[in-house]
Amino acid sequence: MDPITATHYIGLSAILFAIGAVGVGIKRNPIVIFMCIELMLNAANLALVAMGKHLGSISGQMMAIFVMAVAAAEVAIGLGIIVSIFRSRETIDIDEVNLLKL
Amino acid sequence: MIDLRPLIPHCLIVGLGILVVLLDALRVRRNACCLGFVTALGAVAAIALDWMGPDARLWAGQIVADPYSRAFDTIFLAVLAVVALASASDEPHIAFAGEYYALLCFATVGLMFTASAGSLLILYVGIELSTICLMALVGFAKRDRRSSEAAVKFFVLGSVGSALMLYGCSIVFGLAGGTEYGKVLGVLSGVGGFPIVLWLGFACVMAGLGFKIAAVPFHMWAPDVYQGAPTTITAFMSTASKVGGFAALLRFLLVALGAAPDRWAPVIVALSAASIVLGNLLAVAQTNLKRMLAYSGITQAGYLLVAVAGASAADSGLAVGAVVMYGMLYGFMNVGAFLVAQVIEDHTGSGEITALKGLHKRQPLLALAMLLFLFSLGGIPPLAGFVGKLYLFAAGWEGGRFALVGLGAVASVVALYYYLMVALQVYIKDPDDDTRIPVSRQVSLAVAVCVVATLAIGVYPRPLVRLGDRAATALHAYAAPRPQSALPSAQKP
Repeated sequence: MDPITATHYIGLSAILFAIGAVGVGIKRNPIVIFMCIELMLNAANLALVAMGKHLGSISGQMMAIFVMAVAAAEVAIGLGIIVSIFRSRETIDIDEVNLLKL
Repeated sequence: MIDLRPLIPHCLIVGLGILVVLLDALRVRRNACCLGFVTALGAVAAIALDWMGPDARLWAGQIVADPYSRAFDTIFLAVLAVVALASASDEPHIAFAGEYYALLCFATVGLMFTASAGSLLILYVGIELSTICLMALVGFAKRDRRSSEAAVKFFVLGSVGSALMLYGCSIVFGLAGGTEYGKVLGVLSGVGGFPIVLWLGFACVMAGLGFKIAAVPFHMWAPDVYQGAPTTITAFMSTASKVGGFAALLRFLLVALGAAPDRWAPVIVALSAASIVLGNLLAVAQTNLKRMLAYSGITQAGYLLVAVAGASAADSGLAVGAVVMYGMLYGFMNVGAFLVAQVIEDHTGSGEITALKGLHKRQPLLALAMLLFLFSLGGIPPLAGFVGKLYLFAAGWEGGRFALVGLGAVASVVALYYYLMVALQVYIKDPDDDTRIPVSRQVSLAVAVCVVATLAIGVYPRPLVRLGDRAATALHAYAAPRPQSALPSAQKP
């Protein structure tokens, strides 16, 4: 058995990122879309930490902390927007939110 | 000891945001519209403070304060001042007025960091700071269903854009061992080529920035969000936020990827051509004024990209100067056009272009202002838009992008059609009712500032050209290839 190396982590992060990106494209519920976006951000985090470890540099982990702070702010705003849209329409299905023509 | 004086204006704007929330909470006389004036004054003070600060590279070049970043800071702060002034008349009616101005201030700070970013990490944080604040502002009119719908769309597409950009950052980090532009440049000159992995990182970062500047194919959000958002916020987004994207784009391309301009130039040319063509074609078909201006903004981003493509040539000075210059005058003329749109929408309740019918009989001065903004956007001399576009195309020509400049010139003629269609409604058509449209003093003042700037820059562009030159010199000094040992990052143990 080979030991787990940085390549494995980066491969995993690429897979997670792809799952997140596809999810954003095909899901219709904003909360699920929201989770997919979180998945994409955390895939990037995983890559950052793994590469930081591989390069022997602390800055990868430092950047991951920045990203967590940003993601938390995004969660707050995103949930707020979803609540406000639910209050005005009693639905949050993204296909029914179509007052503005595309 | 790190000299933090270059960050004083950033701190001032953050403090200003906190101050307006406090003033609002303390219920300082609402009717006086004081919060908007306080914000506008603070923004002007920050411009002055910014230019008094010293040049510096902080934290191993992660944040760079130089005339280049200051020129862009000036654009963001000027737009902030005008937008805050124009919002002041609504202040007594809107709930959470303090938070509104505070979020605008924080978004501006994010843009200022974007212009100063010397590393992908700061770039990401700056862009996110401005985008997250703008998400909240787009959905600020909670009772308006279109506003919250625009916020959802902006949130989903904006988050995807920034996640892509972050993934690009992580790829570049893995490749270069750091995200400072100096290190990326070191990798490029070290391997002497453009590794395929760097392509991937570059593509992801470009997607994030393309979203910010609303260039085709990352433009999908713009028309819906511009239409649904409160119009003052649209004015801010379509100018300050877009120009912020260009500030980051130029520094990223010319500094981090400065050693391989022949690699990224084709990508920029493609984005530019697509934005010019598609933006124009779709703008012609619009009946809603804000949507029309959104598509015209996509076209304008294409024009700016012409100069960026020209910057790939050996002497990029003209291109950087042209982008700074156009960013400034585009800020004034586009904010002005959106402010007129807001007055009409508030009064008639309709955002259609036909709502402008016979404006010259209902409000002659406003009609004249709208005519000036439209002609300037269309690039008719002697207005600012003409001079700015001339410089952009000259920069593209200098860089050898002849076909692209030709396309831009043809597109400018087509664009005149939809600008003149609006002017036709304003001046030729007769109004349905002759009642006068009232304009508040605050909005009049903001529109007057835009009119004066549009006229003055067109007639006497020299100061702005000099500002662009200074910015270009600063960026060039920063981007000049240096031996590996002299890179700022190499000083770290």
